[in-house]
Amino acid sequence: MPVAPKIDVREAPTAAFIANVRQRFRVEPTVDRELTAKLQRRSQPLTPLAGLPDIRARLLRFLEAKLGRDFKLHDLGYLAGGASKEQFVFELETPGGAQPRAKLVLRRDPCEGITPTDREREFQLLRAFEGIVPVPSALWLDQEGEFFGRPALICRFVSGVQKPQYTSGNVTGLGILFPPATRRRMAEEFVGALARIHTADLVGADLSAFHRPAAGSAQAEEMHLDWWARVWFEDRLEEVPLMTITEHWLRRQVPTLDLVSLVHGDYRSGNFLFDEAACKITAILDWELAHFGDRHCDLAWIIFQAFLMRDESGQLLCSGMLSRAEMLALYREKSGLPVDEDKLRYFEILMLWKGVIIVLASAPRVALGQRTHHDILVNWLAGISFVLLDALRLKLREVI
Amino acid sequence: MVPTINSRLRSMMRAMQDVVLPALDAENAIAQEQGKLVLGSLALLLDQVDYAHTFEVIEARDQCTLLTTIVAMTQATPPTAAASSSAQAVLAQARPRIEIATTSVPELQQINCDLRDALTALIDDIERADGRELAQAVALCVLDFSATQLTRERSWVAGTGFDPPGTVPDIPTALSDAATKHLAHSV
Repeated sequence: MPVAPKIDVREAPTAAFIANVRQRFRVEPTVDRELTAKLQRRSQPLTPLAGLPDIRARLLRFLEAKLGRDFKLHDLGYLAGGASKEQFVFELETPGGAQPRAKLVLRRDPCEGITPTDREREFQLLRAFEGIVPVPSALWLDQEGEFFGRPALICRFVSGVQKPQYTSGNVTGLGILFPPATRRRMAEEFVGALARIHTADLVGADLSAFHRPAAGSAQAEEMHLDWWARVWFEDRLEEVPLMTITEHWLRRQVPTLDLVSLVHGDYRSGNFLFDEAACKITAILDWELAHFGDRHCDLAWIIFQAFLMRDESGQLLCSGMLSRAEMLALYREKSGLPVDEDKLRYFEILMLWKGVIIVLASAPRVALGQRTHHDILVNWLAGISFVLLDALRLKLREVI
Repeated sequence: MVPTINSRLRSMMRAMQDVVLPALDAENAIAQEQGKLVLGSLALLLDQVDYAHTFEVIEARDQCTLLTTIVAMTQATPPTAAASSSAQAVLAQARPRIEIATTSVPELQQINCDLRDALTALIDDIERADGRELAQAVALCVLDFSATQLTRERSWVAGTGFDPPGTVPDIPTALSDAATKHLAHSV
């Protein structure tokens, strides 16, 4: 006899389910705000994908509130790239302004993205890092979605390319190999910017949306673990025993933080724009997973197995640029900070676990509910899950 | 039954390739990207469609074997008694249904979900009981089982291109007993 499918509480979470999740996992307040809003939105009726006329009307109302009536909006269109936010590009003409015609980008949360993250955090970081590393200038924030229906921010458009002209590659900038002649110079840019992020003095910056942990404790990573354990709990479509074993291992081995750094959280090729002729990074993008914590988290990501590419001689290159040893040596040189191999191993496992959560739990969950403009892309991305899981299995085999 | 699912998928791919994609606005990057993903997703479905039932049956059989092994390992551990008893009930329900040819793919998927849930509950209980030696033994067992499982899963989605070509066997090979045994021994 056919068996009726079980009701999936995660697809339409009850208030009790949401309250239980919030109580069970200890995360930063703004992370809690975003994840809770995500769960609450799942029970609401689906909204149709945003058409340009709707976005145009919202933009006009927003800009009028900010600038009065003395402006013109031109050339509104979709902006490709990324797998999470809805992105639109437009030109803003403000006669008499310092820059009479500026090209801008609107980033709006989808109904649900594969990395539900807080726009206020992203906005504050873009402001804090302006002048430290290249970032798009953040202009306005609509955190409550008063004008755009969902949280959104507007920043300046930055020119540049995401990958070299003559390279293959998969979606969202995965699988990029830089040409031999530019690898070293791009790595200098890439690692140099990371070193500046990790060593930046952010004391005066408004980063009120972030929790700043203290060095000398394990608190930062415990909260980081709870963040992603919560996402796994909220989004998974099925249990994966390997993931459970990994979480237990990670909780038993949480390292003590030696130095508090701003961790970018998704620092890799594909998440920055560059001027190919000049070999210069023009903008570091995708700050939404950033948090205060351990620099080894980013280091583990830049040497991440799934982003390794083989050069012409078969050597594996991290982020399509340098070998693991060269990449880490360059980081030590640029940052003046030590690299702890034990911590690196811990964070390699953590980042694999987190990567699997995003592509095997959040991506299929979002596509199942048809909640983004990128359903087909996020389902495609789920294909990398098993490569990551297998890499995770091998890493765990070394430590268990 | 004609036309076959296989044949209809090929027709859709041809329509995308020859008619729809060339007609898309070259400046509309999202439409271009999604058009190509539609074509790629149809190709992936074509790889998988003939093996969907077999894939779920093999997974369910293997999950049953793993869960039975772990239940046996935990029987002398009182704190896991409730989870162990639930796991045995799930196994008793799952086993006969897996072997019936008319069990649909969604039903098999539900069986696999139930087996995974039962195993996870057991692993969580062992962790809470702080039985480090047992937890390690169970973890190693799960890791070894996962090697074969993940090879199948990587083969299943190899068409997405995240595994370099030739890294994993094709789907029929990955589903064959010979491949399963070979990979199990190579762990």
